[in-house]
Amino acid sequence: MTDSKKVLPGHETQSDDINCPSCGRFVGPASRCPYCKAKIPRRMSLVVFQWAAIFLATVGLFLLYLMARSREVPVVMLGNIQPTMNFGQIRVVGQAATDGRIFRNGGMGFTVSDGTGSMMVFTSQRQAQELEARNMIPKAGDSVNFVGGLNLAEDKSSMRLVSVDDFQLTRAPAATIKLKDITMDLDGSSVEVTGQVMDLVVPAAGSKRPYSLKLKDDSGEVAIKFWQTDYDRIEGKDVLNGAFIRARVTVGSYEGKLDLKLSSGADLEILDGPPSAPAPTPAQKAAATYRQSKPSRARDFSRGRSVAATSLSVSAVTADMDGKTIRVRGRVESITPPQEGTQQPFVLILADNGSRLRVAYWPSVDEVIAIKPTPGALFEVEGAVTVYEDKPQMRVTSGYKVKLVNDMPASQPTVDESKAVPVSSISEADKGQTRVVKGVLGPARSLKSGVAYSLTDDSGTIDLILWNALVPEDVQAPLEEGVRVVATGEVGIYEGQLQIKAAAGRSVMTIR
Amino acid sequence: MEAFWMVLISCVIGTVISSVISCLPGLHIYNVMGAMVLGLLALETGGTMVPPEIFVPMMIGMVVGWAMLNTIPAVLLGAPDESAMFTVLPGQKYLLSGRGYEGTMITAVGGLAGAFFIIFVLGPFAPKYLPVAQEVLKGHMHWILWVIITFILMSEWPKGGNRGPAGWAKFYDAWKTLLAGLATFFLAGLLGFIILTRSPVDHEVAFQNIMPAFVGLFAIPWCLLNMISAADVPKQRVVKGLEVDGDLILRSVWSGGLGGGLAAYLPAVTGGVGGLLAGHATAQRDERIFIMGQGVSKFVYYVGSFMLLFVPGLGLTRGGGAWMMKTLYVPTTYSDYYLALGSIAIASAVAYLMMSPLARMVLWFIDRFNYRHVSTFALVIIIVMVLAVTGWVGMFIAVVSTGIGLLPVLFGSRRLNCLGILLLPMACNMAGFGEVITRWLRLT
Repeated sequence: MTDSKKVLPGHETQSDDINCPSCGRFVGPASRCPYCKAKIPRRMSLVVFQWAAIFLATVGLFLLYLMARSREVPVVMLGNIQPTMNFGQIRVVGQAATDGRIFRNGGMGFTVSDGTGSMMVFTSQRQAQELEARNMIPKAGDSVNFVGGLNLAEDKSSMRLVSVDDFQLTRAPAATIKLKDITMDLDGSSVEVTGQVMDLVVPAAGSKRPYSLKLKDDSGEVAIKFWQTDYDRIEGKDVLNGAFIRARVTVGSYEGKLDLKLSSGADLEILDGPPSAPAPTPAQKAAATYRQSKPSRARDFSRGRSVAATSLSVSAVTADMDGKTIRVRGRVESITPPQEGTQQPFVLILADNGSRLRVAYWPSVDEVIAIKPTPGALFEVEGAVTVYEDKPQMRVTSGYKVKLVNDMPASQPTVDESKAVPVSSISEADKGQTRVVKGVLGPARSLKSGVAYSLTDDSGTIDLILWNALVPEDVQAPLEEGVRVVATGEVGIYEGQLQIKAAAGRSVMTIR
Repeated sequence: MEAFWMVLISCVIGTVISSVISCLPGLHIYNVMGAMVLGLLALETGGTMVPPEIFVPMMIGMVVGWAMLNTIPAVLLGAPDESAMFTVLPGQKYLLSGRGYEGTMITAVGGLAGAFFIIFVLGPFAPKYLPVAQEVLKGHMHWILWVIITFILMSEWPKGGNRGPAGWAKFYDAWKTLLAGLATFFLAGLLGFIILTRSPVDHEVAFQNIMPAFVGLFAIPWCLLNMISAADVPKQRVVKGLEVDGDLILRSVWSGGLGGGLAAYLPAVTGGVGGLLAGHATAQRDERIFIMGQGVSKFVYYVGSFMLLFVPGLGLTRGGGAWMMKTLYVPTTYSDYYLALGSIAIASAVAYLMMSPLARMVLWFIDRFNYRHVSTFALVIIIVMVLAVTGWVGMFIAVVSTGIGLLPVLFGSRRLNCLGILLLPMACNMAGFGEVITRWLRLT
């Protein structure tokens, strides 16, 4: 240090920051020395960091918000739920296994099943009220599609409904039945009845008794019970006495006697005259309207990432789509990685019914792809269409947009025929186990949300159940009486009878 | 091996593991337990079932060890989790006057007193009275939470604006910490709505979906702060006696037990909030009571909330540890309850005995190595952990949360406001209008 930079007398304990680094004189907060005009380096103000933090917090939060909003909630089969998914939000596509039950606290609960498992779903009081107002309290057999938050425990697991707006319900068609045919055997099921109202017993003011409606058809007479809230929702209730009606009721029992309950006030329709052909109930109409306004979402394979485009076949991609972002599904014909040391992209050839499409993406994209494309597997890719020599091709910019749909090559059988066991070897002890069976289908029996066939082999006969939610339409299409099939599924017991519940996916295959 | 030995050995192993982990600043035991749960589930998938007699006492030991020994980084490294925030100021005073060891040991005595409180006061009465209390209070939680939120927000006071001419500049000077506090609370609340309603974290690891946010709100800002501003730590003295007596311990148990008990019982309320409420309620002024009370509070909060899951007839799930335990095992019998109480007692003793050697070891460490390097090392561990469990999405959440978590640090407001991430969404959901807000935000 030169003499000129010496600290002035009395300034020995002061920080160097307040002295000029050039001449050593006291300069205080000045940014330029008033004596020697040297520039004084200053510490960065804390205020800069304060505003940087505010900026980071708000901008980051906004981006996170956009990300969360555009994120599609993944569809997860109930049987695939793992404890690590606790608190996660998943979409469930299945059937209500029980009627929705309103609890004392005002909330509602029902059990949902998707063929791979079942789980209790709870709603808050407000959600229950909204569902009731929209006549969307599920009944056993109704198809449901909703987003739920998982609450998993070792002993019992449940879900809570995330949003009423996102709750999609499709009423299962109730079988129209003659009044004399309603017996205790139907306990717990919903049926549709038609007839003429002979009497309506209104409970006395202050009474806790329900309304009782006496209904008569050409086979008999029954009493249908319902509460004031249901009565209030019946359209045209003032002319109920003597009117011909169609109603959906739940069969139950009370003190050992048959007990018919109106499912909802909206499920009672006053007819213009004696009933003829079954017509949709107001609830079914409402459900249909709701379905039209909000179509069911396709199953999401994107692990939660947003995919906006509609899936196209390879042959549907044309040069006219140049510049558009599309989603295409096809089987991988080949995958060519870039040669070492070059800047080439990965080239994926997707094929479908003789058409081929070149899909290109950079190695950085490939690194992100969770399951790499392999020849024969069915893949879905999303990207922008470009045109090269008048031919369309695709450029994918995100690894999340290359997704496996089915890893089974088209030519490979999905059910291993060699593992088929004789039907007679299946017993009640096998309940819950997966078995492969082979045989000839009997006549189809329609179920609420599926179809049942008897399957016969040399040793015996067993019911084969195909739920629409699990077995794709194209798998079910070729099935009919007399067709020989091999099928895999879980052994179940229903009303004492053994059955095979076809597994999700391509679990039934026709054979010669 | 007999169940007794299995329990004893697992409990001691769990305590020792967590005691060592507790010395690392910023790393939370719930994150380690999360990794343990993943490991147990992987074993289960592979066909190896680990009996509950092993993992239950081990998890209890981990929680107890953490509750007792996390004071070490809180006082000696200045990187506490949010529930220890009140320990920081008096604790750092102790550190800066060369009495860091004494500070940690006073807190440890508080933890030991908390263990006595849980085993001998709470333990015998909990199965009889807590289920009744829960039955009475469960319908009132929403307004209790709103009262707590109101108290948190209203009990912060202007810290400037005393000098200068009247005007906007003076007003801003007075209100900037309050505004920063409010901004922190509501930004954290908004983050909470996003994460709890439609978490961007992959659903496969959803049980850790709030972890990156907590890491960003509390751990990363502290590590950054330590890295930027770590002061020179003076030579520390190791003493053989503590300046405490029975009266001081009882008063600490009173204030800390109340704060920790409230935090353990009420949903979304953590030890820091409980400490704030109890501090105001009991108005204890002695600095030693303050430090020891925080030891009690922290112990009762972490261990008590975990224990509530084991109380027969109650089975209340409070805190991340209990939620993780519930995915593996749901205790229902008195046998489980005695197992829990026994494990807490054993683990408390082991953890307390480890306190002194580990505190000395950390003192030796900071005497030889740069204080900032510890924080840098901790930050690296935290980032690796977030990336490993939740991927880049989790890292993004952690970065955003860090922005929010830095606000109170930079503006001098309470870090407690970051708890808006849980308090705001839960209070809204419990009051029945959470969905109205998420619908308005177009999250549902």
